[in-house]
Amino acid sequence: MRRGFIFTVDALIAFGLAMAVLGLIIPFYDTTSLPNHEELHVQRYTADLLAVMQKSGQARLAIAGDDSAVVATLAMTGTGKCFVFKAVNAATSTIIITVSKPGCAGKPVTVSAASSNEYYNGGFYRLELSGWVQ
Amino acid sequence: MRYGRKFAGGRGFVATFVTCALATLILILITFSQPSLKLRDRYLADYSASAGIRQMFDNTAVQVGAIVGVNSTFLPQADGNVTASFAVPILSQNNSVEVANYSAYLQGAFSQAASAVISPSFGPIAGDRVELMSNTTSFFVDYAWRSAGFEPSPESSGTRFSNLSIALVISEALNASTPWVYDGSGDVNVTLSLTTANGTTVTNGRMSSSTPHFYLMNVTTGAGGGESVALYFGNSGAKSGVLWVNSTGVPGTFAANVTMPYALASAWYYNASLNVTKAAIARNSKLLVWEGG
Repeated sequence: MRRGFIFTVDALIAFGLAMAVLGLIIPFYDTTSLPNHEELHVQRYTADLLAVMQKSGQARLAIAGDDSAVVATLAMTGTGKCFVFKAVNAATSTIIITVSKPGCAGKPVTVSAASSNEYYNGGFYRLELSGWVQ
Repeated sequence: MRYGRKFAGGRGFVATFVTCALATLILILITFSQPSLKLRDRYLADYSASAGIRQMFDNTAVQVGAIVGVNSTFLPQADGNVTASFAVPILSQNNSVEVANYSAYLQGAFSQAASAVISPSFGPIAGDRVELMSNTTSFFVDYAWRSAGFEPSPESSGTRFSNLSIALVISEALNASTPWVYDGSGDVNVTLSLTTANGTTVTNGRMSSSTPHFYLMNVTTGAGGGESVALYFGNSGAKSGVLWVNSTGVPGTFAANVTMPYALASAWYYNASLNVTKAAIARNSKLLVWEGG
């Protein structure tokens, strides 16, 4: 059998050991929890969508009982993106309305959430929009 | 033969050394690349949180406008001016209790919901007067005096309007009125649209912002019967360009479009502020309604 020319067996063993050490270190290296880019994208999308619903008056309509504009806006979001809109009476903590995007069953444990508030007809309402990628 | 083995062992040593060095180098590069990746992610996360706080400020200003009943829009013109539009009821209801309730809600329940520390300072607008200010001019609603209009900011000598368009709507009929007189020349082009149960009349002319002009309207029947509406444009002491409408009890609406230089009206804000801290981001500023680009 010819002797090693570039990589000898001990070199390969050394390389393998180094990679094993590397593999052991990396999982323990990053202990901080930062959202990944997809989570950040969903966070921004969710916050922007809630702002659009408020600025266009759709959220007020939903509080008043007409959720058609919110339903239409949620339907216009891309495939795979899921949202649930809620309006909560701030004084009583009662959920006034909940609108879910169709086809988005099974809300995951971790979702992006945006919250805001709306003054309507003498009362304050907390608006919540949860978003996730299916 | 012995020399050959020795040579082969030396080559193995070099190859092993190079391989280990390469592996170490890869390890070092990966290790040092992690902080920069984390910095980038941290920047993106902070940017996202910062944008969320900006939206919170924007929305708070919108909600305050809804509570106090002031509608305002701002439109920059190609000629370097800004046209600002304001509309309020001429007998505005004092919603200072709602303003105080909103402040308490933001500070309490909503702070918890938004995972933030929110400290509103709404004192200046939770009394008898609400002001929407630029660096030279204030739009005010004074509930105690049942009036609304414009006046120069404390540090300004005049409002500097070039165009002033007023739309006053009163649902009752006027039994008597004393119209104001246009000057023929003057520094402000004024248009007044007056709508009552008698119909709509529109007048236009130039007025000096430093001399007084009064328009008095009396109502004898219906809502506000026996009461009057007064409209004033001109000076107030040494300050020019003051405009107000005052109703002694006649309901209606007052809308005004004013055109003024962009440099004097590039930002409009409520005389109230908000302090928000969320995670590593903190912001404390006036409630900005509009800021030109």
